[in-house]
Amino acid sequence: MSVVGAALVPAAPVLVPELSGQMMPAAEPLDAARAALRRLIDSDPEQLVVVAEADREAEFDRSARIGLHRLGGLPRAEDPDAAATEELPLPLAIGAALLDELDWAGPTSYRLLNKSISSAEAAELGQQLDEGDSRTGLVLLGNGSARSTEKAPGSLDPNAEQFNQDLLSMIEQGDRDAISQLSAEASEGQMSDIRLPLQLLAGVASLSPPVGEVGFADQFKGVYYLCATFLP
Amino acid sequence: MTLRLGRGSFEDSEILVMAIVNRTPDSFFDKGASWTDEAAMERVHQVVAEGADIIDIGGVKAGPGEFVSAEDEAERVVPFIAAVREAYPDVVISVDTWRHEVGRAACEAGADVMNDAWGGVDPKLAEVAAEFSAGIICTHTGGATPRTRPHRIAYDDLMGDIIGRTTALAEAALSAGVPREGIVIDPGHDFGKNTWHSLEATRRAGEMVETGWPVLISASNKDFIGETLDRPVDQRLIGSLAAVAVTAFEGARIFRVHAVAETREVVDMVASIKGLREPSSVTRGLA
Repeated sequence: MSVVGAALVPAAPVLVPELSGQMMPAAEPLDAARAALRRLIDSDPEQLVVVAEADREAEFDRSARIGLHRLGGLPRAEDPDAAATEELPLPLAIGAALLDELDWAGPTSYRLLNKSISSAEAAELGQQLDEGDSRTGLVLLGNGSARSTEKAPGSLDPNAEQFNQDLLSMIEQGDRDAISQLSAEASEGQMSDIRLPLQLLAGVASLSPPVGEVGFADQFKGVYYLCATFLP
Repeated sequence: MTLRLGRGSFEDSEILVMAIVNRTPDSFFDKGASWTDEAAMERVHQVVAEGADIIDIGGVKAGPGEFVSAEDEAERVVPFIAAVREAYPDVVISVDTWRHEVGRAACEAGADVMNDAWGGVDPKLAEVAAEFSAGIICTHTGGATPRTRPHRIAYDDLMGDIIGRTTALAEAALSAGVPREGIVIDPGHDFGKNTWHSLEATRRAGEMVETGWPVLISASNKDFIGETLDRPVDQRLIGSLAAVAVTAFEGARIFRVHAVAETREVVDMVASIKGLREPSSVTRGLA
């Protein structure tokens, strides 16, 4: 048994319809994200592992609540059981919401990778998942530069375009060396959280080389989104 | 509570309009319309005639952009504050700054209020307000760095955060020596918030009022209005006035706006609906 595939989507709240308003402003990347996840589900995994980069290490199981109320949305009745269950941190909650929308009901675990860990440590985690007993699908959450335009969350960084193009290239070519060499410093400078999910992927022998079929690669409101599927 | 903002004193029943006068070439709404001294003074004449109670003068756009040093900021606003003070000896003047050096120079030129729109980044600003017996606006930004945009910001308890942070700033200002009646809190629409957050802060403004601190609302033409109604920046007046009406009804006291005449009419109407202001002329059914 091994990793049967992976899908890469941004952990962008705007991809969750209940948060993005009536006009579906991010319809195109949302369609691409859904398509990437659907292809992963169609590869018949027994379980999914949702992975995101954050400033701490943590693991959650399917009992954790999605809890998007911290980002807003219309007022809703409070869940009486809410206080009793753990809440997923935001990037993982976005992944969970996207999977819910696709009616994925299989076993799912969630993993936050501390952004201080090295490329090798991330790859080792990927290797461990690949050596597990179940047919596993990986949902990788992350975006390229959030400094891709003047109006971007972090304003325009002159290196953003090159950073984004490098990401696209390493994914399309399955360039494990380039993925392994993505630096934490450059990623942080670009407000990008894609490094560790990709470096975990680079450790998965079953998907080597990790060539991604890219369904969307463009900036949205100054944040560079990549939606891709990785299959053997 | 009676408000005392420098030389201005306002009774409980008064709802105040603060007119925005930007001394910037690049602010999001007016895009440099009052960048020159002449245009800025013309704007002041207009808003005073339209009923503004406070003139809020700022020298740095809120969003990211060209770096403006404290010296450059002071150069943009301080001589102009002196000119407005000379033209209008009694009008309340506010300076929109997070820097104490600029606040001090502004007070020396005649400013009455420190509009600390970036929420206590420079704690010395409150000390300056205390030294000059000026008022201070304590704004919620969620801890954002000045001139940054929010990115996937989330709150476990939005109103708890807003009230906790703004009242802490208010208490700190009080401890620094700012008179209690000169301290105002502001939920900081769009600052460290997405549109959902700003909408919630609007509909729950009454919870800020319940703290006992006077509440200022600065929502004029902001992005949360544009996103809510799908309107570009030059078509957000109606949404802005709706936010004024709701928060005025909830008890907010000061409205920082671009459109003074329209806002004045809305707050007068709300005051009459609340039973705080007699209608201008009542003859219907009474003849």
